[in-house]
Amino acid sequence: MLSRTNPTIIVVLVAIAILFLVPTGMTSNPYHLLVLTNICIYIIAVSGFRLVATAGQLSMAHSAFMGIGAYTSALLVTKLGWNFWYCLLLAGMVPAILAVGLGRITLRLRGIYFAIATFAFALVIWKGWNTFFADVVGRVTDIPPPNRIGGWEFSSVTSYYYLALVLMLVTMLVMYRLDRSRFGLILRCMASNDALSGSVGMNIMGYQIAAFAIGSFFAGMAGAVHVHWLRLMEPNMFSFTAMLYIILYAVVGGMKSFMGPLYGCFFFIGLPQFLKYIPNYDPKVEPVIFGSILLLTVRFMPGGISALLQRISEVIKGLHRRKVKEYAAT
Amino acid sequence: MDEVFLQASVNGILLSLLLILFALGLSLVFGIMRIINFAHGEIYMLGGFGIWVFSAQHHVNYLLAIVLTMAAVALIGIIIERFFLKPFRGKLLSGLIVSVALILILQTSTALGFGFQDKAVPTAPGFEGVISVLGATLSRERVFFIIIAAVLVLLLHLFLQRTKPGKAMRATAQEPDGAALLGIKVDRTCSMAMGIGCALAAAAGCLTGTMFYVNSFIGAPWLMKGLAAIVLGGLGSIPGTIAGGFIIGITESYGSTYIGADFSLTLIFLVLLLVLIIRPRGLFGLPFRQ
Repeated sequence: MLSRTNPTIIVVLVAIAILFLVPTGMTSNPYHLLVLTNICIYIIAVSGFRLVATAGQLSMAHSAFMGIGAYTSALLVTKLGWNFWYCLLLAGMVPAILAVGLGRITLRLRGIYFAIATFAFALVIWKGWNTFFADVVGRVTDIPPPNRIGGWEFSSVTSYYYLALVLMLVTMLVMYRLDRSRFGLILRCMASNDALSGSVGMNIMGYQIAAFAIGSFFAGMAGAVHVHWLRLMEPNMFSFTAMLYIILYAVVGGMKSFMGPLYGCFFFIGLPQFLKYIPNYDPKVEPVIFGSILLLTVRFMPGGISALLQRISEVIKGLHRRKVKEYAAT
Repeated sequence: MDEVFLQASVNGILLSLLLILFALGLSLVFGIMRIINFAHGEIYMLGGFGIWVFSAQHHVNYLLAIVLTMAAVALIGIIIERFFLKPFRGKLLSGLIVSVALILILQTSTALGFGFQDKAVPTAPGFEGVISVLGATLSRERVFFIIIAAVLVLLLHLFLQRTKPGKAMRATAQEPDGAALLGIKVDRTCSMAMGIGCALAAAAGCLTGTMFYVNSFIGAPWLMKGLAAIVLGGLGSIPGTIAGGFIIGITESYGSTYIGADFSLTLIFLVLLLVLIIRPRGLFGLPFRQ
């Protein structure tokens, strides 16, 4: 039976099991859990961005939507005392609705206009935050931990890690299903040639707006999870620089595969943890290193890490096939 | 004439001209290479640092410092174009990603190299003081800057219209293959466009940096305003960029004066949205070439 089971499924199950067992097994250093939680949160956000990119559009508003989701949730929980779980959903819905509005205006035009408009939107939100909103609502502090569900509480590092992990896995599952579905196929069609797709009757606007809305939903949700994790929200948290990093994680991870965001986030959030062991290392140089990696990736390895892994697995399969042939020939 | 209105108007003209300098660079690069260089804001920022290094640190003659900065930044721009933009000519989204990488690199290198604090550039001698125009007092520095900026825009116009390399650039922007067939060296023209565009943005950076301050992060709002200006004017059209620049600049000036400085960015964004809803190709927009 084992030889007929798809090896990929086994690898995936083992990986998930490892992720769940991390808090129990590891060096019981809570810092590692913090890093992993951060990674999970960003995987959610970047997956949303990658979904929009699958439709051929680069949403520069993604970090702003994270911020909007974060603020929505933070305010509703602290000022109105609502249940965290409803706020989490709302944190996704508000950006999604805004995305529909923004999308209707900009998605009927060429991709570059969408990028420009979302960029302008993000800048306005970010700058407006620092000035306008800062006076009105300012920082939100003392965000309480998520409400209990059944017997589970979420105020400890470990429990929040599980929360982020589960949400991340759900997100990945959703992205996997979307990719494999007709929806994903249509998005990819539109990305490669929207004139042709339109001519066979695909509702380009509709699908692109849908992709944008769904992607932004995940951005908002990720923002809310992030902020409830830190128990604090500051206007500067989702700056334009955060947007640059989202693009970085997505592109280097690989835009073609739903696993791309996972690779990208693990790589870029995990890497500094190792880099800091280099003597005299100044973490402030990271953006330069990351920017250079991005340049090299776009130039020489545009498919990103997921494409690289794909090629490696193909090579391995090729070698395996040859070995089987040789073996069968003897 | 109401003094506040006059001040706002003059500021509007100055702001417009500086924005036009910046936006012309974006427009030239887009027109010839069909990519939007999102890192253009950082080029502008380099201009600001350039004037700070030459004028504030080394006390070079102010006008000479501007020229040196423009030359240095043009050179940096050409290097960037050769190595990082050339492979992506015509590919908008890839170009955008490359720009993102450049933004990260440039912002961080300058912050690490020069420090994170705001830098001030003192007003050049001879530019100090005030002038009285039409009954209102205006800073002499700003009047000079208007003249400098206007001269640069005029020089660009003359370059594009009257000189051979300028006409080569316009030909390449219209139809690169046709231009190549006529013997125009497309690669060299692209580099030249990038160099000139970056020099103009650097000039804008110098002047604005002297008026306000310089730090590694002044690029982003300008990028947004520049993009708004070229979308409003029409992507790929130089007169459009100038028109768009004036509209955005004057809007910002009156907006800041009468409504409030914080709101100006939002206002520009709303203008941008309006343009995209009503007339996406802008005022003088050329149809997109595939």
